[in-house]
Amino acid sequence: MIEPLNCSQFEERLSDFEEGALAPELAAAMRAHAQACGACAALRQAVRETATWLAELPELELPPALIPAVLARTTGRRELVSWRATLRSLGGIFWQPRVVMGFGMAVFALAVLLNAAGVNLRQLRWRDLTPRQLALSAERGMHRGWARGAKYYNDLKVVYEIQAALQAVQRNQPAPPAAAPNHRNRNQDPNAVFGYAREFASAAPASFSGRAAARPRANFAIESDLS
Amino acid sequence: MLRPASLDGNGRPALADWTEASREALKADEQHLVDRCLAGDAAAWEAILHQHARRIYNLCYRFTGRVEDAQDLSQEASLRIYRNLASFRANEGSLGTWILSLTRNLLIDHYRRHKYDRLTDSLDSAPAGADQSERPPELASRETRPQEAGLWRREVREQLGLALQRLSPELREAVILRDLQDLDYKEIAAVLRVPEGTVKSRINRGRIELARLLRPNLRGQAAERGGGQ
Repeated sequence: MIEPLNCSQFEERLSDFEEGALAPELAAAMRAHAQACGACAALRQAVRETATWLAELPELELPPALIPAVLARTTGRRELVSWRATLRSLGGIFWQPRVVMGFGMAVFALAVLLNAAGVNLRQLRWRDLTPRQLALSAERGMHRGWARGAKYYNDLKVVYEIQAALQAVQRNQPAPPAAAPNHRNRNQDPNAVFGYAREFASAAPASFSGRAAARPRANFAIESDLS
Repeated sequence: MLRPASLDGNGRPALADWTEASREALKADEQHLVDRCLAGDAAAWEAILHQHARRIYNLCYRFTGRVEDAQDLSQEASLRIYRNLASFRANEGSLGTWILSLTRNLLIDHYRRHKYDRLTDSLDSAPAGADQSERPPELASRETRPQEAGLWRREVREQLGLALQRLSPELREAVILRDLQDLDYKEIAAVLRVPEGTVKSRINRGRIELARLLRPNLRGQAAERGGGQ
């Protein structure tokens, strides 16, 4: 007859008990202690769960570069890898959520940019991809963007109000000041707005400025008002 | 040629003899493979690598818990194995056990070399007076989230990996070799070069410590009864 076990003795024999390696009498004493002691019963349950989780831990795949690296440093022989295996290993690297998400975002950003540049992929032809065509379409896109920007600027309510106020001031004050507008005191100088308009026009690319001069636009009426 | 020592009632060799014979044949094959390798046969070394590299890598990863460390250590272990192939003796144990033993020695060396780093890291990262930082967070019970089985499993694996890192190296290597590498007590004793009784004791203590790390409420119960029994 085996004496009742205490908690330390229970712990010492727990793995053997769970693996069925104890003599029947000792196993019966372990069972009796687990029934009498709640803490040891909980410990037994936790150890069982841990053993289950350990058994479920997956075996890791070997990194594809490991064996070739070892071979290169030992026998100096390079392992022959088939192109299928290479593709498969590359697929393993790229087929990850963050890489797929990044690729999706890049495609989305490219689509937005192409859309903003007015490129329609369905109507794209090979001859559109020649350097001359690409340069021309880039220039067209730049002009279009510039014209949109200028139109947006001129359509701003605040700009329109300032223009109207200045025109009223000009009507009441027939002799304009001779000095050029001081950039530091723009806020005080009513002509400063024209300074902005001049800078805005002069900031345009040279090719566009030439075209703008050749083709007077309503958007730059503010300039003609100055003269 | 090995011949079975005894025959069963039908005139066939007994199962135990077959097992013994196959073990002897395996030993002879392994020694032959190593001899070829020592003679400069690159294909033999490649065969050894393909056969054992995955096991080496898994042992390194489970011991260190870091992919980068596991890759570096696996490579270092493989080089050490290659340089020490002449010391392999098939009659002293299997090639797999010998390889794991060398890998384990390397892991212990690595652990000792970086012990100070880890100590300073943990001191830097531990908030003042935060005793909880020593333990991984307690796992929620499986019943609370039945609809998230995949997430639950992933969380368990992460917590288990963290808990393994918190075991002492002696307990950790014993649990890994037994519960993850499926070695028997005799093989583990050969790898660790300690008696089987010590192996059993370390595995038992390692499992209990892991269970307590994953279920911190068990610690309180253990402390409560500590003085009494």
